[in-house]
Amino acid sequence: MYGKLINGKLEYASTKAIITGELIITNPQREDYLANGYKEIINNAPKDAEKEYEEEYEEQEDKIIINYKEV
Amino acid sequence: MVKVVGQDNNTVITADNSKVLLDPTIILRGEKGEDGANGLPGKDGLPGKDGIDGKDGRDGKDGRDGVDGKDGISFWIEYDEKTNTLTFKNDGGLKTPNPIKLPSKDKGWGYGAGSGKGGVTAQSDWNQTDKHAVDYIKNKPTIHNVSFKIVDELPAVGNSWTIYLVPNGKEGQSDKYVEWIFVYDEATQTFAWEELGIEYDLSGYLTDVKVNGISVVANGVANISLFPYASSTTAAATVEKEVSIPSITELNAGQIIIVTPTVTSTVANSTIKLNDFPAYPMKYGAAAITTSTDSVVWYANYPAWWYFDGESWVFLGHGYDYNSTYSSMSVAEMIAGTVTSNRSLRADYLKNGTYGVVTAYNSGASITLSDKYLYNNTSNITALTLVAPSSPDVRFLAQVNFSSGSTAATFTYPATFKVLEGCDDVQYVAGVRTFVPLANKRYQVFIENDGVNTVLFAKGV
Repeated sequence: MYGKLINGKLEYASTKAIITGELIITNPQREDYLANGYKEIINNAPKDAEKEYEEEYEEQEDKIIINYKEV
Repeated sequence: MVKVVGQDNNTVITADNSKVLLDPTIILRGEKGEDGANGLPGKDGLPGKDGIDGKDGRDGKDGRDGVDGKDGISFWIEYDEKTNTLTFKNDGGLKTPNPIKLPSKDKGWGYGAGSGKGGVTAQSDWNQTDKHAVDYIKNKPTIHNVSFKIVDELPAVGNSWTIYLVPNGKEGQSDKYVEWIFVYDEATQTFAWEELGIEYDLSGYLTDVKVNGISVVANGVANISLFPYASSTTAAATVEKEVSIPSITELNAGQIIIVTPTVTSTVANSTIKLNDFPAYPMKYGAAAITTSTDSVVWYANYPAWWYFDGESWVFLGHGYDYNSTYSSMSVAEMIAGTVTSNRSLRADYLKNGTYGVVTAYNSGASITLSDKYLYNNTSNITALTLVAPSSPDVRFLAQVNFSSGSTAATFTYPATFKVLEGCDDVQYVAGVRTFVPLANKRYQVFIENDGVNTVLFAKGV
C-alpha cells in the first residue's frame, strides 16, 4: 500500500494506476509510487480489536507509519 | 751471171749444179729481172658543167590493142551411174587420174547436191562394226554413263563413273550433299577419293575498303570497326578534348565514335578535336555544354557515344545514368511525405504499405510513437511506456502490440490520451477511464488522432 499525507490526511494510492499531470501509470510498481511522491504505508494495526483506537500518522522519509492510539 | 738454184749451208748451188762456197766477202749477182707491169691508168678528169634543159617533146601515138588471151582449162568429174564410176576430165587435154570405182549405193554413200560434178559425202554410222564399210567410224571413243549414288558414307572402293553424294547434315532442298568421285592418281598410281567443288580464295581481291571514311578492310584484312573507340586524357578544365582514332581519315556527317574520358570535365563550351580535324563543339541535345552538363557528357571512365552532324559532336548518351543513383526512401520519409529528392522505393516498404515496423523492443522500453508505425513484441514484458507524438495530425495512427506476463505489465501512457469506450480492461481511476492491462494477456493497442483528441483503444486476448 502506498499513500500520501495531505494536510494531515492520508490518501491512499490506487493500486490500478497513478495519474499524474502528464502520465497515467497503470499497474504501478514500488518505484512508480515513490517516484510520484507516494510512500509505503506501514500499518501497525492494534491487536486488541475490542478497544477503540485513533489513527496517528508518522511520516518518515520513505514510509508512512500508521499507529493506533487507544481512546 | 750465176743462176742460183739452191743453197746448202754456206754453199750455193748454181743452175749447172755446181756448188760455190759462199764467202762473206763475195757478192753474188742474179740475172736481170723481167719488165714490170704497166702502171695504173690515171684518174678521170673533173665533170663538166650541166647543159641547158631541152624543150618537152610531143605526146606519143596510142598503142595498138592487145591480142585476146586463150581460154582457161576447165576441170570436172563425171559420174557414170551405169558403171558407178567417177571420171576426172578437163578440156585442156591434160592428163587425168584414173577413174574411181565407187561402192554400191546401199553401202551408205551420199551424193552431193551440186551440178553433178560435185564430190560425194559419207554418213557415219556409230553402230557400224564392219571396219571395211565406208560409214565405219574409226578410233571411236568409249563413252561411259555417269551415275549418281547417295550413300551415308564413302565405301572403301568406288566406281570411277559414279558420283557419290554424302549427306552433309544440312536440311532443305539444295546443298544437302558433298560430292565425291573415285579417281585414278597418276602420281601415286592408285585410286583415291576426291571431293568435288572449288574453294575460292578472294583474299586478294579486296585490299582497302572504307565506309564513310572508316577503314573496314586494310591490306586485305578485315578491320571492322564501325564504331571507333578511343579514350581521352584531356584535363578536366581544358575546353578542347583531344581524341585520337587513326582509322578515321575522313570526317563526314554521320560519323559515330565512342570516347571514354579518363577525367571528368569541369568546363563549359567544351569541344572534341578528333585527330587533325578541327575542334567541333560538343552538344547536349541542341545546347552547348554548360557547367551543369560538362560532367554529364564527359564523365570519367564512362564510354559515351558521340555523333558528328557536320558542325558539332552531339552527345548520344552513355551507360551511366549519372542522376539516377537514388538513395532509398525511408519509411519516415514516406510517412512524412515531405521529401522532394529522388528516392528509390524499396519493395519491402511497398509490401508493408506505408507502415513502419518495429519488430522488437525491450521490456521497459519507452516508445515515442511515430505515425503509421507498428511496434510489435512477441515476448512478455513487465513495463512499457508510450510517449506522445509531437503534433500528430488527423491521420495519425500507430499500433503497439505487447504481452503482459504473469505479473501485469506496467503500462504508462500520456494522460492526454483518451481511452475509448469499448476498450478492454478499463478501470476508472480518480474518475478517469484508464486502460489497465491484466496479467497473462496479449494486447493490441491502437493510438489514433481525430484532429482533436489522441485516443487509445486496446483489445486483448
